[in-house]
Amino acid sequence: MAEVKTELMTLNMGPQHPSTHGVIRFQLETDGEIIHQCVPDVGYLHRSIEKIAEQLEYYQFMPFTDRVDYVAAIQANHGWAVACERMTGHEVPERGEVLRVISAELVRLSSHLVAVGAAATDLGAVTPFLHALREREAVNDLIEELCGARLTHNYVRIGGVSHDAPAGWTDKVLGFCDRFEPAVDEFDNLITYNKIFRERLAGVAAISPEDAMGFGLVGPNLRGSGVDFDCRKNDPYGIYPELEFDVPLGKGEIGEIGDCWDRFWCRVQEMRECVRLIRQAIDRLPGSGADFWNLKKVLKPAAGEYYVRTESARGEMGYYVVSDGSKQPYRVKIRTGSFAAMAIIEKLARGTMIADLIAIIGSLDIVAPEIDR
Amino acid sequence: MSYPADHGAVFDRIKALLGEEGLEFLTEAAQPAVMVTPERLLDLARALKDDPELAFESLQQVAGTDHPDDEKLRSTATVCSYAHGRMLTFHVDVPRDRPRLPSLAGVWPAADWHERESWDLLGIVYEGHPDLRRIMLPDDWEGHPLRKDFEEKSEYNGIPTQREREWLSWQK
Repeated sequence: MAEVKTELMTLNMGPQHPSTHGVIRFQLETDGEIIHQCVPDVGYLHRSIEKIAEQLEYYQFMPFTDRVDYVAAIQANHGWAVACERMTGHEVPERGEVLRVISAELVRLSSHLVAVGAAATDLGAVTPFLHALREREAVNDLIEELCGARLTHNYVRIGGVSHDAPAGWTDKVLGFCDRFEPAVDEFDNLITYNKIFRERLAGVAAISPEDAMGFGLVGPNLRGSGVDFDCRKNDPYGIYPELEFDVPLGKGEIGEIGDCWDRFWCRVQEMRECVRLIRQAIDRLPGSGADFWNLKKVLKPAAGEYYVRTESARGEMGYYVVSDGSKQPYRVKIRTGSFAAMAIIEKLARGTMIADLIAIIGSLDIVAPEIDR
Repeated sequence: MSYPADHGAVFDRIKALLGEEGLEFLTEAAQPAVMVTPERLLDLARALKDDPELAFESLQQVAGTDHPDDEKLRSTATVCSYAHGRMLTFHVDVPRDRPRLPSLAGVWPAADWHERESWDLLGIVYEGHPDLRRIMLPDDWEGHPLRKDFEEKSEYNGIPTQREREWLSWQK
């Protein structure tokens, strides 16, 4: 058979493509349906948050961390609070720590719901997205009752949390947990082990553990490749060392280890672990009336350079802070999971189909403001 | 192990592999770190990654900091070893008027984008970088905003960057 003559075509995907979740753009060079080269273009949401940090006091920067990762804002708050507390040796009361864990795990769970739901809808399955958002709505209601906000929570404070849990709130959280656990099983039946869905994800864009580490992937993207690392366990902060939970790792159950399905599966399993953590935290919650916020009026960390990391929904969130001993940070750099995940796409997409690129973006759980900051 | 409690062992191993020329061990810092000259940077990076006793497989971040009072820019990298559960930070100081140092992208691919960001926002040049161009800001942007003496231009391609009084006058 004579060889078919083909030529490369440059194709623009985004910044307003529905599957790019926020404003990111890919410049594709394709040969028919096959991607020859994929150049990610980021920066559309750059708001110079790091420059803003240099002009504020440590306390004042907290609401800006919400905007670093608005899908899991409490996690970003938590990272900044832990960084400032490590720098100054600031203690957090027990009730504050427990409320942080409950709220952070609720938000992790709801962020994973968006990740898995959106991944499914990008690949053409709309129903699971609606199921996921139904649960996320319940989490948003709980968080709203806690701190008054549904998206940019600004809940965690340096030295504690901003509001105590209202009366009866923990019972509502437990009620949600009871309802949510069967919902995850339902989600598994509906989509995770669905044959069509499996075939779209399994074996696609497998990342070897060496690549995952070399490209600095973190969180479920790293664990999907079988690397056992979770800051909550391996670089612990708060009360996490006293709580029991498992860290799901990709095993290549269906396709290859580290493929899109493994990353998706890790997120679904992590939601179950979140529920376990929430239940344990509620058991240890000290009686209401206990102190939840240990406020220091002026925060002046000793001069020096600090890198402090916490586990956000998208993996290690590191704050690199340079202090000159004054009330304002001299330099803040925020290291986020999506930045690394976005950087590896150029390598992963080469030689795949355009439709696979959608699966890759969805499985890496990319949140645009986190890349651009 | 938020920061290597056993940094002494890491530093001893680095000394055994590379000697002390061009390296300074900041053991008294809040978080112990290594100061390295641009000439020895790649030696240090390769040793950190390839030596099985160090095995820093992953680079977490590269951040630039401007220190105009000392006439220098500092490029800081944080690496992590999953095998040994350690983190390590190393700094490179370069003169502010000639901020050039070797790129780490050949050792850790993660350095690629972090160094592009550092070039974009601070104007640090990473020599040997495969594709050193702006990442956050538009290609025709002038200046590097995270430098302490950066002053925003009053307009960018005809778009004002400051709110003008007249524009706000309707509120009165």
